[in-house]
Amino acid sequence: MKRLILSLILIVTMVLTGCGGGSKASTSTGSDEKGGTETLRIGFNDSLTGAGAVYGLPQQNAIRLYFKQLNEAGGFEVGDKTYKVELVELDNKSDPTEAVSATRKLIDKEGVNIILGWASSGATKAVSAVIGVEYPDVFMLVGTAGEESITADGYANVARIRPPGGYTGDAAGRFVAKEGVKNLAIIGQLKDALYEQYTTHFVEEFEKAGGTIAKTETFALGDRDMYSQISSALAAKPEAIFVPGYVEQAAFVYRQLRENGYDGKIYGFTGGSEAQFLEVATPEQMENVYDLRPVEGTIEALGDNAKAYAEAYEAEYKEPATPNAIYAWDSAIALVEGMQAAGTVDDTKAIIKALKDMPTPESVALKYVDVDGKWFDPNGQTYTSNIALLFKDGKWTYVEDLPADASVYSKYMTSLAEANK
Amino acid sequence: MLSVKNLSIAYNGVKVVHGIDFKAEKGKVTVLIGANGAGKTSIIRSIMNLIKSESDEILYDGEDIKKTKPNNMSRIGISLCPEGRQLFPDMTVLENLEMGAYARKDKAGIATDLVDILDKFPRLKDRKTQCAGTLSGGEQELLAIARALMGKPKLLILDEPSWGVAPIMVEEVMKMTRHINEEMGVTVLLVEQNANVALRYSDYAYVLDVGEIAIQGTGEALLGDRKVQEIYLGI
Amino acid sequence: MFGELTQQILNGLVMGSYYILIAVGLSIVFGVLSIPHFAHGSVVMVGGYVTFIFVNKLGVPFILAMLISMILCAAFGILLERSAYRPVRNAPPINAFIVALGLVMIIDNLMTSIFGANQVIIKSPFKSTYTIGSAHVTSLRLFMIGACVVLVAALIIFMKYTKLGKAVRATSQNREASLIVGINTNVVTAIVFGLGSAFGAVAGSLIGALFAVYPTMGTFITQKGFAVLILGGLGSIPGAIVGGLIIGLTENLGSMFISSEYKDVFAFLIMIIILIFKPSGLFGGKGK
Repeated sequence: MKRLILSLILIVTMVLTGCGGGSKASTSTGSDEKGGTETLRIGFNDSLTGAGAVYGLPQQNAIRLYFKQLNEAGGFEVGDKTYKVELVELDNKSDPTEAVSATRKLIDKEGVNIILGWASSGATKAVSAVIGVEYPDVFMLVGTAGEESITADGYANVARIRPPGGYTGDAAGRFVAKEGVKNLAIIGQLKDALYEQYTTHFVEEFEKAGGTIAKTETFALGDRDMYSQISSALAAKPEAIFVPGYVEQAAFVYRQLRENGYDGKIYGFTGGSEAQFLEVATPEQMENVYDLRPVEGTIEALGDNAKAYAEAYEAEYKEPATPNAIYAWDSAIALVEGMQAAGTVDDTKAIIKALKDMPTPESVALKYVDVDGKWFDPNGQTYTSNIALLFKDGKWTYVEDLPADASVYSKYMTSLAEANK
Repeated sequence: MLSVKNLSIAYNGVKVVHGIDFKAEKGKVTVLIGANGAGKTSIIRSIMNLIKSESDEILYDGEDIKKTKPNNMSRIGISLCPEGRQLFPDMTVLENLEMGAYARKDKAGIATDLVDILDKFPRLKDRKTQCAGTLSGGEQELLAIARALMGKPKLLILDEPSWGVAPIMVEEVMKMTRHINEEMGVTVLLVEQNANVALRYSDYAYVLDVGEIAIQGTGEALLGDRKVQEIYLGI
Repeated sequence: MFGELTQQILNGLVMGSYYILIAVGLSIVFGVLSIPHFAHGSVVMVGGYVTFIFVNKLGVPFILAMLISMILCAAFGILLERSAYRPVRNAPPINAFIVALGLVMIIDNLMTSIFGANQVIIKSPFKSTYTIGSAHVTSLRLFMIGACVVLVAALIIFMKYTKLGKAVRATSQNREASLIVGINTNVVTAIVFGLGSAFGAVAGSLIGALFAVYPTMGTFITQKGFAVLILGGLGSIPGAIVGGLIIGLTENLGSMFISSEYKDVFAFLIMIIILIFKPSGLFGGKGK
């Protein structure tokens, strides 16, 4: 009887320790019983709840899927060892303070030195400042968060897949001018750094090409009643309307614009899937709406890797990926490519250096524009192509690439980093 | 009509009324007089079950009303004209009177009574669409009595009707009270600080002193009593 | 300019109607019971969710679903009063406040666990748009104004001309006097909570079709409701009407003439200005 109780206690203790997620680990690798394959623990910090969850949850799905596929294929080799990845995930609730404390937990308690994820700009920016200054041995690889300073601050251990907002803003401003629009009204989430940056660059290029801004109106994250902003904007009789903001907010603007009798062109910068928009607006209301954004998950503008990713995502999660999830997917690829090129899974400085030294590898899903032949520029930033999408017959359709110059923008980012030192 | 035995009331553990007995005889005007703080209003509020109290019995027309809810008092025929009038200030004189008849179901009866009451109280008839809060103290007292009468009570209780009322109006109020008793046959229980006026209009009176009944007797007898004269009438 | 003014006034009337529907319920509860019903916003939200279930999940026509929601919310409101507010009726007011906070937490979390943290949008049967001059208004928004007008008019008629309505008024003016004339104040309490919650259900349903219902909207609604109440005078129905209209119009006209960046601030600015000159609110002062 005593032996039975003893074994029960032993089993329960083992199970509980197992469930705790290894709070005692002090390094990020550990041995597996299988002998030969090691477990590599990688951190994941994202908006799983709160306003940013619309972008954060798909990122989590993409990263989980990538490493699941990798592990099921037997893991990946670095040097003479094989590794399988275990994700250590925390929710930052789309809140900066929460994000910083979750990050500290991941590094100090969980012992990871690489963290993926990062959809919300506010949360990400708060952490990048901390990691850049306090944790030089930790590698923060950002997916979707678009605020410029995250890479413009010049921290060597912060890198990002998603191109900065201003880079796409420049291209979009030139595009809209090229479309023949002379008089434009803006209704945007302009207090948000990402959209403010995009818009500043957009307006600069648009006005350089001869356009004028008829009216600028603002709404905030979480707003749904934009009727008064729309009434003001329409009173200025613009030829077209530009709407930078989160997908939920933009959807309400599009719907309310149509309700207020506006039939003209709408240029958005939002990055949302059809489903996300059609929850709020009808397909008729969405006709003639553009989205001017980085290529993101627009599969028809990308290659076979992207198609494979999209199919796998939909098969796994029973719904199509949101456009931004592909950043997370490629961030996971970047990590593995960097580790293999550097020949190490622990030396983050070497991994980062390897990434800044290589051209864009074959394995990625997105289409990139290399800067001086390199995938990641000296600031740790990649530049994808930018595209114009048009909502037609219930779907986003690819129209064309936007005119963009990555090396010019990279130099601009470097100048910001210099000023920051 | 009303018989109270061994009534005690306590506030925060302090006894303010010490086991008193009194009666309001049917068809008579009975009066409870005493100085401020003697416990008069508390007695009325306990009968109406607005506050807690202890007693051996409280009988109304032979029935035990110790457990009767305050909002059922009107239905059984007890109408209160409360201390400070307690009118509905933003409702008109007419609406206040209508509310007095709330517990009644006889629509036709209410309508005729309304006409009669207004005739009986010409001051109120003149002001029937005025808001009750804008009336003078005396007019408010009359309205409070009229409202109580609209309930077609068998027992009318008046708590400090002279409070805040000009002396001339006090007489008018008391005359009206007497009239209600004699002409309409309503039993009246009246509680007052103004002993002089109250005693002159009463049939029977109790003098309350620090929570106990000091003296009782007919109105006339007490008016002539030396001690009462000295202490309560200031003579 | 004139066209935009008409449009912004229309916008203001729509939101004003929404605020009125919320504030009227708060007003009658406060007027009769002196309870600041801080959980009212959560009841409004529940009203929205109930209509969502009937329309989106059960295919019930919108107006019928809204009526069902009104009845269920009325019952819910009465239940809240009986179980949560009544036990602390004679305690210090802070207790009622704490009770309300507790209710809000429970209700909001319950809605999150049933419906998730994301918004839901009620399918609306109102599909047309009308033009008034150069201003546009959808039939749903007109319906919001219409519903408010009809319901408030019905409430005023009820309060002024019916026996029960007069009992409610009397109780709000003098609770003890209403007892002695024979009014059952428990019935009055139930009526007041029931009506207030039913109006809230209409507000929640319409806003759920116009914008969305989501689990954290309760607090925001309660805030707006009390802003209207304080502006219009606590416990006053005309105050709730005028206050609601002022706040709705100020938000939109302020956005038009000054800037949309400070839309939420305007309402509070106007409130402060009016309170400086009349601290008890526009229609406040008598009694409470």
